[in-house]
Amino acid sequence: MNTVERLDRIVAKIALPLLIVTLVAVPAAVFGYDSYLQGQVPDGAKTFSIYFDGTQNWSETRASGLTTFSDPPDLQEIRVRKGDLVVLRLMALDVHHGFTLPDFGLGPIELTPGQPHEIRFRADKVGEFLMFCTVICGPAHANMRATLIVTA
Amino acid sequence: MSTKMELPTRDRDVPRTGWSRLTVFAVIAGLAIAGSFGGVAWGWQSSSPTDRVIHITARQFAYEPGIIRVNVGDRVMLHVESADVTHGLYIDGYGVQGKVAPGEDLTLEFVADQAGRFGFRCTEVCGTFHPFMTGKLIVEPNLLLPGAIGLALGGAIGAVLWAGWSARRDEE
Amino acid sequence: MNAVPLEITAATTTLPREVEPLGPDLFEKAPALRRFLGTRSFQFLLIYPNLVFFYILMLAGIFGHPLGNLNSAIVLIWILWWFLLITLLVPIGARVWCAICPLAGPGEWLQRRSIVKFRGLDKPRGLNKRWPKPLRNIWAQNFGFLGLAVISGLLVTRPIVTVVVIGGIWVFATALMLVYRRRAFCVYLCPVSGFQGLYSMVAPIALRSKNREVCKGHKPKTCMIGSRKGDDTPLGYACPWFEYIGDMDRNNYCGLCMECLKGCTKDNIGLFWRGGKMDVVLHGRDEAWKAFIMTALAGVYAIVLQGPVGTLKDWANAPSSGSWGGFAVLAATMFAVTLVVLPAVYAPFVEVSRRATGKVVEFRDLFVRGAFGLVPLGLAAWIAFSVPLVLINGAYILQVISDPFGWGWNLFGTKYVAWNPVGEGWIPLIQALLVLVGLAVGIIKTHRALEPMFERTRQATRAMVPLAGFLTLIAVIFFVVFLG
Repeated sequence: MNTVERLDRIVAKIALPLLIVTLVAVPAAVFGYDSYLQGQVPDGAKTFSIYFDGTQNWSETRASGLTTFSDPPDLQEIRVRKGDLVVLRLMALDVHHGFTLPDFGLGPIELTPGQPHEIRFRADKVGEFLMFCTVICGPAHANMRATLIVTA
Repeated sequence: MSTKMELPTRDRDVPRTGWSRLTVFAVIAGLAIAGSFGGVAWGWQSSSPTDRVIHITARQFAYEPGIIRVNVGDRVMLHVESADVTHGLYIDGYGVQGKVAPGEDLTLEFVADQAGRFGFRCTEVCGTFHPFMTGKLIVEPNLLLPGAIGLALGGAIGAVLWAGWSARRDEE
Repeated sequence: MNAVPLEITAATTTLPREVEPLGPDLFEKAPALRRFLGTRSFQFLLIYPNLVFFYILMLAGIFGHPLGNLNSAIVLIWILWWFLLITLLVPIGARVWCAICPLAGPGEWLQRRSIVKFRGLDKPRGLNKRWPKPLRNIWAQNFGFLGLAVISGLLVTRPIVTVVVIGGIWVFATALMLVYRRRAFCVYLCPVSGFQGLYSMVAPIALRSKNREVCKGHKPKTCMIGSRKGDDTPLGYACPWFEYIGDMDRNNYCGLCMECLKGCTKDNIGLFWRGGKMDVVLHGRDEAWKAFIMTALAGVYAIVLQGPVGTLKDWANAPSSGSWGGFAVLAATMFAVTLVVLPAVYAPFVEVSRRATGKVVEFRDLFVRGAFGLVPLGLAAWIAFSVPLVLINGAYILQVISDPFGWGWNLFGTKYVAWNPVGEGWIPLIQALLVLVGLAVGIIKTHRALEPMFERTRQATRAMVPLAGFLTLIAVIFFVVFLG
């Protein structure tokens, strides 16, 4: 049996299993790696992903809040308890945005689309605090605001 | 124009004047090339370097004006402002660049010391069509355009002659 | 034997064909290459990485960042893949992409009930129908391609649109392969296939029979109808592209899958390197119109996408700008320019050419043959359009390789490479040279295509003069677009 026949034989044997494994393994690797990255926070931290999408989205003009397809769908407020470690993952989806939470001395920072920004802080005071976009990002810019509610 | 020429209507005997007509064509094309170069060069000579102040408004996904014309040697001052979101401006070849948020004034100053056509484009991701947010800077004399047209005319004639010559050589 | 249809696509002209000589046979120079391409497994080995690659890109398009230049589905397909296809794969490798295309692979495996092993032809899966006769041309492909061209502004900026289109082709191709025999989808419908066929004519690579007489004398015609189980090894399937390599003299519809190489019992298949020689004869109006469509679209894209006019960009980007009226105008313009305006500009030149040579040839024949000049010229214009994409946006490729989904990964440390154009000052010069080369090659090769139409070479030269004028006009339009 020459090399060519051996090659054909081996490939013929592994082709279908390889395809099936690939079908499952690729998404598993992708989402697994991402949740591994997401998991790099201290235990007990309250993590929020906040996506910034002003008016530029596919198919409609929308005056959105700070978020679109993250969880919850249209961000009005974030609730945490006093003493919680809060992790905010910020990501601009369309144009340059900004972020500030002045009562905690956070920001303003500029958010470039595609470049995630992570902020960690301890919610060490009770109350309602405004966070908002700091870079003019279109007609809906003024609506890009949400409240951080820290309860006792 | 060719319909007015006395072209043979019978197929068998194509007179030898074919080649001389091509020669005339070549001469005309040569004059056209020389003329286009000369015209541009003359237009360039008659202008002396000046200061240019140009206001540009950037918006999603274009610049207004999208075409800037200056002469080589001019000192150019671009004032860029944004009508909607954060944009930028990068000029090909010159490497001049800057970023501008709404409400800001971006000033870019440079001496247009290279002639030709240069695209300029947005540097800051500004939405769906960001990669196609482009304009162009023409620094006169843009000799590449008449030069390329001249070469195309000359090249086309040369290609026809060469193709005909090599085909007849192959036949023999 | 008679039952096997020779599904040659376009109406072949009765004129003598001008076939340029083939060069050295690469299979003789590199026997290892021949051995590898002769294996049943080589196609899977090349398709598999591609399949993984496109699978990841589809996932990225669905789940990744919605902005095109941050998502690998856009950057790696419409910048990297497109660039490689139009500047390297097609101009040098002809339809080599078709041999390694992951979109057609699964359908073909289903048809054959096998990925690698040869199972014979007796019981193909699916309905195995013949492609309908009226559709045995590339008109459907032409219109399909135009349909995609109309939405191309969205296709190349929205990952989700890319997923719908590429994924749609994937599903549709697979489904169609279960209905119609072999690669009917690829030959007659695939939008990526049409221009590859057209531009593969200029490729220096050509898979041909070494000696046509041997083919003629070989009655079993295993290359065309496939081997029978129990024949001598190696075994090959019937040509999936409906070609008969024994008299195939153009690259247009050869997918380089090497089934004929495997099925040939006479060792009569060669992979030739013919250098600057090329296929110069267009067959039929469908192919001529393909050349019009591609050439005109290169200009339209350069004006709309790379030009300085904001209104046109708004029209092309209607979902963002809301100017759907403009979108309709742009779409109508694309159809008009490609299907009507360019051919209408071309036609008078053909008529002058015909009159200049004493009306010895049919208008239609000259029209089709003379349109070949648009193949090298159009390809050059496409390369001229595509080179800036990479010079300007090369950094995006590095960025998305590290972060294919736009989620903030940094796999290889290139996520935050600064956007930095490279060699962008040379773009107009590069474009000018490309178009000039395309023009010269177009004229020389069209002359070659015209030679057999006339009794005397001198007449061909005379007929070429007006056609060269037309090509020069088109080149000048490209110069104004690229350089003005």
